[in-house]
Amino acid sequence: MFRRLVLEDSVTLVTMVAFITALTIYLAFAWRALRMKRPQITRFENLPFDTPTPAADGGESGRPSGPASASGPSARFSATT
Amino acid sequence: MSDRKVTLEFNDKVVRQFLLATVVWGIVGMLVGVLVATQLNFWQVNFNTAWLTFGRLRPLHTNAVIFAFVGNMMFAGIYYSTQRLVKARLASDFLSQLHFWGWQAIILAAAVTLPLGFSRGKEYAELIWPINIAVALIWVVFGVNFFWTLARRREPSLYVAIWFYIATIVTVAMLYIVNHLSLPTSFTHSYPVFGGVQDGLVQWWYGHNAVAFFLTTPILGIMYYFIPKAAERPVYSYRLSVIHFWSLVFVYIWAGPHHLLNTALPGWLQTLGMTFSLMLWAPSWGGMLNGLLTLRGAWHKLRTDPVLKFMAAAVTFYGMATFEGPLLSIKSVNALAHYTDWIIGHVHAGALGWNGFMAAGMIYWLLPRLWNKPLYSVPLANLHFWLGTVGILLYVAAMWTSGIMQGLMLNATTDNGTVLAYPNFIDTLNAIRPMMLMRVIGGALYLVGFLLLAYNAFRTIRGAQAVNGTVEVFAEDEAETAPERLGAYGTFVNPPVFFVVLGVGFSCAWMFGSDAVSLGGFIGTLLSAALAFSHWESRGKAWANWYDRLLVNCAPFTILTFIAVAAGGLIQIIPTMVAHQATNLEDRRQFVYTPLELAGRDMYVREGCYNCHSQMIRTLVPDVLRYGDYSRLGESIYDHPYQWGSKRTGPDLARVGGKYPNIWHLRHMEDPRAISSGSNMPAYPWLLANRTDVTALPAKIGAMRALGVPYPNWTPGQIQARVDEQAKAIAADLRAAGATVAPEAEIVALVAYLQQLGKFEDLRAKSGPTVASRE
Repeated sequence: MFRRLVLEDSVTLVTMVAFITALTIYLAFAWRALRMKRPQITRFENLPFDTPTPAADGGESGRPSGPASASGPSARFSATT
Repeated sequence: MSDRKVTLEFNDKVVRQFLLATVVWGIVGMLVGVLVATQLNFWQVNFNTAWLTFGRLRPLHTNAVIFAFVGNMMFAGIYYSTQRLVKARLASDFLSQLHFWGWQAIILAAAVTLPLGFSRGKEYAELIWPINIAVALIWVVFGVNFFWTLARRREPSLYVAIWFYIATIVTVAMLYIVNHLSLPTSFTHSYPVFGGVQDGLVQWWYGHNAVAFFLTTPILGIMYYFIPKAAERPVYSYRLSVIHFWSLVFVYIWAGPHHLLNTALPGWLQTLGMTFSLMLWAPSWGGMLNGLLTLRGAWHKLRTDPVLKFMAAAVTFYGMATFEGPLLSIKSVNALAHYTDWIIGHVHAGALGWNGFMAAGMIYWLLPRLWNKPLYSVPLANLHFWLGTVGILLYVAAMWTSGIMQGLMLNATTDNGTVLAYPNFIDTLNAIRPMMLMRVIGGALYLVGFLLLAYNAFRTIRGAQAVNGTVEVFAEDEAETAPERLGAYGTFVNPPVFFVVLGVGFSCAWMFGSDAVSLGGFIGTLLSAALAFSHWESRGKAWANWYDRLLVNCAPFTILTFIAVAAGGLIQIIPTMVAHQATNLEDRRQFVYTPLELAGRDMYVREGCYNCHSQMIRTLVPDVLRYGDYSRLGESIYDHPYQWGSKRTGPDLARVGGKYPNIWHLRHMEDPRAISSGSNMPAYPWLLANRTDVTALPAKIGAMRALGVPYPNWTPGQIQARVDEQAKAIAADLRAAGATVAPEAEIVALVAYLQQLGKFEDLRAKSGPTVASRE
């Protein structure tokens, strides 16, 4: 279709190189995310609860509380409340 | 640190303003949506009135829903959550108000200009250039206000929602500016600087990523803030949210070419778009699962809490739409689905389900908190939810059925694939009429549900006292919690960035260099990878330290996010700009439009014909059997804007030129049903009465010349003479066929344009393109 067929053929490599580059950078960030320490995660995930929010009934409520004895995410959450 | 506490009052006034604007513009956008859906069933609803025709109102619907409804919702959510996440009031009340009122003025300007036919002729980018500039300026105001607020934050860490907001701001700015680059010919008209395939690629780089970074990433940020707040528990996996963010940023931006599969777009771009679209499955579903699993242990609340109902359903629709998107990006699936209602169903699963329901959930959550009064009626909100859900399901099911049915019929062949099974396009249209009607019912149900929200909001707010949120902070927090600065040196001079730049540089040499350079590039790429790995093995802490500091330094974070999204676009756009020019064509090149044809083409754009007619015959047997030889890139190389289209409510027009006599086109535009029984196309009687604006042509042709279209340097008199000559010939032909129409009538120019569609210069036979050679 175009005279510059050589360039056309060359740029087909772009798909592979783009894929590898994006995947590499993405894997690097994913690796860092997976290596995040528990206290760091707990701190980040509770940021939305650092600022008290009024209750929906027009009253006041501070941070929501989770079951102190629970395990898993609720326990992580309650540790900061 | 001082122990003196102060109470910080958030700027919730602007949040309330954006919230109410969301409700108002949501109603407008959905109302116009129901109207245009009705027009497709009942052509009479076009009212034979120019500013009420489908082609002009459909852009109003899409722009109102995207920029007015979701835009206002996004700003409300971002401003509310950001202030609380960073423990700082919005930096400037003035900028906040300028942002709000500026945005509403833009929406009003769009609502006036689009029905009047002022359009750039590109989907979701129709607004004329003065409004484009206003959008860019107001977006900058938004960005300055946002980043200034981050600079004054009392919380050093940036929650993942903020990351999504940052990506939104920088990416939308980049996309919007590039895709709206235009050369004005008057205060209300311009030509895009890109033409043909370049314009198509840039358009869908923008169009796809408008979905990604205007309709998805900000709403994901809102999801990551409001679902934990509503469910009263933190996000299921913060690690997953981080991976979700980076994978979306790196992958989404590449997927635009999947809107142009099986077209004349070069194959490598189609492959690139399809590959990255398929990759999107993983992060999208990761994000969806993260949102849904945040409700772990709180599922029982869905029985009573409309907020969680809406948000859970919204995330589910997000998952459904993002499963469907990659599926539709597979070339063979796309061959069936493209140009049909299936795409419309897919888009509305996202717009109504994901965006609309997240908006509703957020509004119901915010109303009591911003006005310090319980929601007027929870049962009414629940009724809204069920009306909306049934409405979406009806709509989407109807469009899936309609799209698959019409796609199958249009592609069906007999006699070993040599003859079309349904050669008459109208037959396929009549087959989907029941589904088109069901869409109206589904859409109307959704609108009724949203009207209930508006009533609920009105009754909640009436008599209530607006309140601003507050938080107690230490007086000196702002200074003492300032994060460790990374600085320009620290941002760019570090192992991760160094090795990435090295690797990309050698890769480019490998790809584009000659033999020796290419070999060196290949070896260098391998060495870079090996060096990077060994350095990371031995000095991994340096890599980790840079990343950790990056997360609390919003400026470097923003710059690197911008580079990540820009790279995806540049790799697609630059080779297209370099290689795909008219001078490089070797088989076919379109004729340069005559002045009269150019005027007719502007009418085609003004009336929004591209909303229903494509000008791209795909490299598929049924397309070729139905419409003629497949389209080549060169046949639209001078089209500013390109008009390949994305939907075939009517047949493709790429080779309609010369297929019918002039009188056929005149009668068809005057009364489509007189020519094509059962057509749902609006009538265009004003084209016979209005006169072609020839005085605008010198400026338009001058702009075309500046854009590289090889027009001679005509004087206005020469242009007028050419217009007169061609118009008189067409008018005489029409008169001979029994229709008396003035040569100055707009219909004459439009007929001139339609009759040249599909005409091209065969470069294998001769060389040298000019208007003169055609004449």
